Amino acid sequence: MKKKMLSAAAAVLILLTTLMLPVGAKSVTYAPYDGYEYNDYNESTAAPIGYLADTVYDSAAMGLESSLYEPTDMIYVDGALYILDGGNGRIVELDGKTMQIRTVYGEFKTASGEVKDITGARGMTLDVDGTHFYIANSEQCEVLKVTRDGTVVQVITRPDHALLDTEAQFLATKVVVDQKNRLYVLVESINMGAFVYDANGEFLHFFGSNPIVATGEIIKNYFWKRFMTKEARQGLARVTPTTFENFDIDQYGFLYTVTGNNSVVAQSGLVRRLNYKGSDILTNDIVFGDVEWDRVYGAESLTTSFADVDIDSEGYINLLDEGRGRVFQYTTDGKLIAEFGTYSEQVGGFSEAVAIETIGDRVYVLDSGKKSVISFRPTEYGAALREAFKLLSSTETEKAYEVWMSILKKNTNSQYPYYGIGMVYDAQGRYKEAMEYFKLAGAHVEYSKALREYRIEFINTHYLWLILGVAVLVALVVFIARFIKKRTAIVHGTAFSALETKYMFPVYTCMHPSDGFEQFKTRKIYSMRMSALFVVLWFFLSTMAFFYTGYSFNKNRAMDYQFLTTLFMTVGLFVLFVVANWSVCTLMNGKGSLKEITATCAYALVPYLISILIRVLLSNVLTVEESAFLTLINLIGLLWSLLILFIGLQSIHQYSFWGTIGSVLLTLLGMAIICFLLVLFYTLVQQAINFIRSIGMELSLR
Amino acid sequence: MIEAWEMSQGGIRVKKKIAALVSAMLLLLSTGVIAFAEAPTEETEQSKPVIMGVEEDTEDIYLTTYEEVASNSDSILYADMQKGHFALQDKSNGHIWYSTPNDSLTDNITIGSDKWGLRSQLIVRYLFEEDVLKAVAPSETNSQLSCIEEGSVTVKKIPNGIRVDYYFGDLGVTIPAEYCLQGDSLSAKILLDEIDEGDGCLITDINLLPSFGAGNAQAEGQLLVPDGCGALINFNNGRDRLAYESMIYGEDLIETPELKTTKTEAVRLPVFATLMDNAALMGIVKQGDGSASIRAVNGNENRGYNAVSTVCHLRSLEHLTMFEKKGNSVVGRLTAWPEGAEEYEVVYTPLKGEEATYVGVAEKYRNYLIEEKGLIAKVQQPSLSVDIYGGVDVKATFLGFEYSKIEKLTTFSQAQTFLEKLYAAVNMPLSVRYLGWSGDGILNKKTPAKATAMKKLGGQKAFTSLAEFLKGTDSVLYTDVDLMQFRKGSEKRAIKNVFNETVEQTERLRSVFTIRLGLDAVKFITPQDLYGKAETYLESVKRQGLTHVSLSTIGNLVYSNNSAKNGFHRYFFTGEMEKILKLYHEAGLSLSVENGNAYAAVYVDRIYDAPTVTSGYDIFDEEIPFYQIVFHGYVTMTTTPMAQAMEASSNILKTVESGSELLYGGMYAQSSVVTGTRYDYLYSTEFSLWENEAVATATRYRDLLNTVYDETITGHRAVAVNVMETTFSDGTRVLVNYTEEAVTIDGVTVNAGDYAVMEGVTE
Repeated sequence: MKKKMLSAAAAVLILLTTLMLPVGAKSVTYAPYDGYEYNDYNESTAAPIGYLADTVYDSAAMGLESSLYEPTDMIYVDGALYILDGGNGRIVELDGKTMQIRTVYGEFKTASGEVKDITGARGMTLDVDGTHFYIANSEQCEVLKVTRDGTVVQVITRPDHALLDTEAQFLATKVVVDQKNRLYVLVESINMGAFVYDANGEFLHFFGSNPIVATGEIIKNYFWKRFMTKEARQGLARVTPTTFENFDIDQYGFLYTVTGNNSVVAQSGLVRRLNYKGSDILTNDIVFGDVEWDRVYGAESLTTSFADVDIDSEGYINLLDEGRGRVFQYTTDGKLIAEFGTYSEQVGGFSEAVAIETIGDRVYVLDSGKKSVISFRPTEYGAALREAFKLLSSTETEKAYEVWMSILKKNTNSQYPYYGIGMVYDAQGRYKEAMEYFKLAGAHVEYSKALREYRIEFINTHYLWLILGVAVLVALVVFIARFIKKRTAIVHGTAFSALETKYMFPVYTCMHPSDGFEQFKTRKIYSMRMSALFVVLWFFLSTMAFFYTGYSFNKNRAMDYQFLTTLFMTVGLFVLFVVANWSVCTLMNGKGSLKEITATCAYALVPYLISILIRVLLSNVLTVEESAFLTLINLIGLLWSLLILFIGLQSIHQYSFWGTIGSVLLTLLGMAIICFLLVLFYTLVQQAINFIRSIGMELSLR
Repeated sequence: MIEAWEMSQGGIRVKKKIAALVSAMLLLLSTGVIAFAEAPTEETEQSKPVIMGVEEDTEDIYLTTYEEVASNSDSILYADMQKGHFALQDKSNGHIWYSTPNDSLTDNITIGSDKWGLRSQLIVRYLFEEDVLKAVAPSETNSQLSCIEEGSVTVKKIPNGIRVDYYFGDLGVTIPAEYCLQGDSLSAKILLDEIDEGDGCLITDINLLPSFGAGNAQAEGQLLVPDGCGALINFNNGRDRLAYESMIYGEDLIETPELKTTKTEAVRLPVFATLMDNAALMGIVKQGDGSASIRAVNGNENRGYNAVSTVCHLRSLEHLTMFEKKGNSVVGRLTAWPEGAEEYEVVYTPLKGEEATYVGVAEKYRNYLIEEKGLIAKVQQPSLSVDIYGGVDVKATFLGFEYSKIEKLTTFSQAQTFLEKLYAAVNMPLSVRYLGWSGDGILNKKTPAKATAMKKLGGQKAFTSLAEFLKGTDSVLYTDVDLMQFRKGSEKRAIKNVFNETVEQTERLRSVFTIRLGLDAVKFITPQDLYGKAETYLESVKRQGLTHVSLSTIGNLVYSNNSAKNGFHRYFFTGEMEKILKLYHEAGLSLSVENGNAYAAVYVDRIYDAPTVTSGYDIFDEEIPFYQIVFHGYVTMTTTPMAQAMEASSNILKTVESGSELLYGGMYAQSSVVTGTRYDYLYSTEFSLWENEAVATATRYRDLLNTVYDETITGHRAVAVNVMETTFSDGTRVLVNYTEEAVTIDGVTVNAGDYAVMEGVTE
């Protein structure tokens, strides 16, 4: 009777509110956030907004009699949106279209009549047929299976037999059901992965535990522990696998999990897509969330921390970042489609976002602080991007091209259209054009793949020329080899070969370092001019490598080229080494003069310089898979140079083998000391300036 | 047929009313919250002010005895000569507006500090001198607690009204205020120059009449706040949020939070109103608008009333963190008092009947501008507005060495070629604003002294050719100048904060909000130096023979200089701007501003980028083109540049809804040249990207614009959710459909996201 009266009163209230409503109004739309996209350098660039909030459904707008209180979860199933109103211990069912209230599930009783209070429940889902709710009744440490009329048909509690080595409570937080009606339960207090139950509620196994990430902290602790007493060791916080914060299952049955995190910089691995074995099948190094470096301002800085994930109808990943109060939408390849939301008391802003759900291309965010559901719709730009990414994997290349061109028209800052058009050309077999577009898109891997195809095509069409080219190259190598061999023969009438002349000597030292550098002392045959030339060449080749290394291997931008840095890394390093070596060796009775040391070091550079040149040239025709060649060439050049240098130093200083090793080590130490002194001097000057400045400030204020 | 329709409509209505009444009674009986005896009586006969809910044990401090203190042909002013409360009665309909609600005693919803807001006439925020250095946050007190309950209010009769001296005993502060009848209005003043701060107390802000005209928890009505284009807050919308408060003419530049996670629109008009059925109370900040904010509170679970008021900001506390490494030592300092400011004045005007809508308020405010500020109708002939981006100063590197260079976005001849083509296609005049045509390009390095065409863009000759062409087509060419912002050069003329540090605005990353590295910060010229700069520039304008000048920032930036040596309070800032605008106006120039503040509208012919959205605060219920309703037919306005609008489609609809002009911004260069620079917001503005769409949109809109461009807006309402109808003074009605579905209104079908004109249909 009482219930009837109450519902009558509710009806009256609804009637009243509908009568009070004006004919209509222009709803308030605003985006308190800016649109942006990340380029391939992880820098944000201005972009149109991808999603706009169009309505904030608070309890009154839903037609709810009493306001939501600490709602915790939200799911959308077959045209209905269910809100787990945790603080009130009830489930609210809304019409998915009108967002008007349909039913409130407020009383839960077991068959024996025992009332189950679900206040504080944190997760909810429906089974495959939509006949039963599963409720993660967190405060009671249980999961309830409830029919739609409120009868609790099963209470799932802690599977004790599987948890022998822990006494932790069964603090169930989130639940989800897969297509085979298996129930997955996340338990906050136990980090062994999700608990999996069959349709009858029998515990099956654990699933996909989150691996420990070997951070510096853990490694440091590992070493510290060796030196600690037992007590101190226990004092260290135990590092355990982080538990999943939330999960969702996509249409293919893959389980997506998100992990909360509190570091300022987003990391990879916070979002995972698990196959039936429980292993992550997302491309490894995708970093979800904001990747731009957040220069920290005291306690004010925001962090990336994912609270919920939802896979929408297109299979796109929607992530709710409660750290920044922002929603991120990604393709499964980790391409950021849109990001929206911020912390604010504005439409499109959040106060305490707890759950995210999608209906078609719309995104709904449940905000516990605002006691509302905020609905977002894609803008023209956002919708076009969604469409375009979808077309990437289709065969309709013509259509894809058009959509990508329309996006280019809306956002000339974006690299996506170039990527998309590159993919279109790639699919059409127009590899040359594809490569150009991939370059604009900053897509190195795709560029490399297109390059491989283009190379095959090129070889197929130009094979005659290529064979000819190879023949010429072989002939050239043979010629050079013979030339050198010829010249190594002792010239008649002298004690030396034709290579042992002043200007051919660098070639000679490459071949015969021991004998060659010996002659530095005996014949003074080194040339300071040529030494200088090699050092300068080093600088130029480094610069060339910066600009002209093939795009597959080259992530440098022309604007990032630093003249001074390059100069220091070549000429500066050379000078530092020579000076340090000279200082050390003078003390150690080395016989080499400064000139000799300089010439030795410069001549030793030759193989390395040649390797740089070859590497740069080859990098333009090789693909990423063949990068091992480049590494090999680099290694050969470097080792060759180091070997010559070592032998050279040994010769000119007339040290023993161990003496040379010792002098080289001391030289390195000397270099470090010189650097340290320079830095020290710089810091001291700076400190003095700061000190004077702060005194000035203090005086002016007090 | 129609009659029958109306009859049946009426029938339904009656039935509904009965049903509602019955159900309401049921509800009231079952809950018993509201006592019937206290329902307001019909105000047909001229009732006297009463105070409700008085019982035997009601304390004297909550009682009010009204007596008539002044009257004229329009209204009567009643006041309590002990406490200073007053009531304003509109003679024509008898409606009484209480300075503090007369039903505050029966309010059992409001809790906490809002209770004081409900009963007070002044809420004062203050600091004691010794707390300033420690940067203690200002405290709050109010006239009810500190004055009335202490019996320290002195009320005196003065011509047409009363003067109330509020003595805040605990602070030793006296704040005198005057409430006087002025024609059909009531003028409420705080006599700033007579405030006695006693010993050691420093007032920071005063909220004047926080609950004047408040609606209670049962009332129906709306609050009008001029946020952005204008917003309405429904009474008792129940939302549990902070009060709305926003500085008139924008937040002070000095207060840039380190991590600004959100963005907002500024208040451009010093007007606000409480709208009820057949009665409204509007307020205009007449003096001190430069240093005031609008504050609005809505009814919810913990607040039983709805009110909008203003806060006068006198000083503000600024912080400086010193020696960050050795623990935070935060030092505070207060900005200076507006020395020489005499009054802070808000004029309240009751509106009645059909006037009592936001359209009525806009009209009344327009009349105020006409009568008091000399606003005249000066609309320009209808046109398509185009922004041309000339040059920008960007950073480039050569071998790792940075240097700055001018990136040519559009040269004068490129602009001419494009505009010739555009003119031929749209077949209507163009209103061109050339940004970055002179000096260092769009964002100054140094404040400009010369109005000469940039050589890199083609120089004087090419510029003259462009100007000649536009003249020949009846089009106008506004050359843009920014006299206020600069990036390089001496900091002597830059505004400082109270610690004598130069105020700098930095670009923020869109993603994580922190400073975008590698870009020069923007500084602002001191208000004292501005006039001289403006004079110099004007001389050059005259020499160059320019006739149309766009004074972009002069119309929308407001700041103060808090330097100890040559401080300049925000209170006086708008006056300084008016002086400059007047100078240029009197030189015979046609002026335009961007997103202009109220004071600029009087002097300019065009307002580019007039506000079309609000800040979208949660407590807002509706978005209305209030700004446009005020100025349409008097000043030509454009909406947001198409490429920078949140969404082009709704930007077009907003243009049509308010009868504004379309605005497209463009450059000749490929707009990817700005990618990665500070001008990357100019993406997708390349002429070729939008030309066809602009022609199509403008051609379709042309006839409507030709009809309504010089008419005022006489009606504006929602005919369904997100379907708006605007009526212009010639009777033209425009329906705008923002929804995703077609609607049919009065037999006219409007497609989704489209508009329709219902010509000649008058109501």
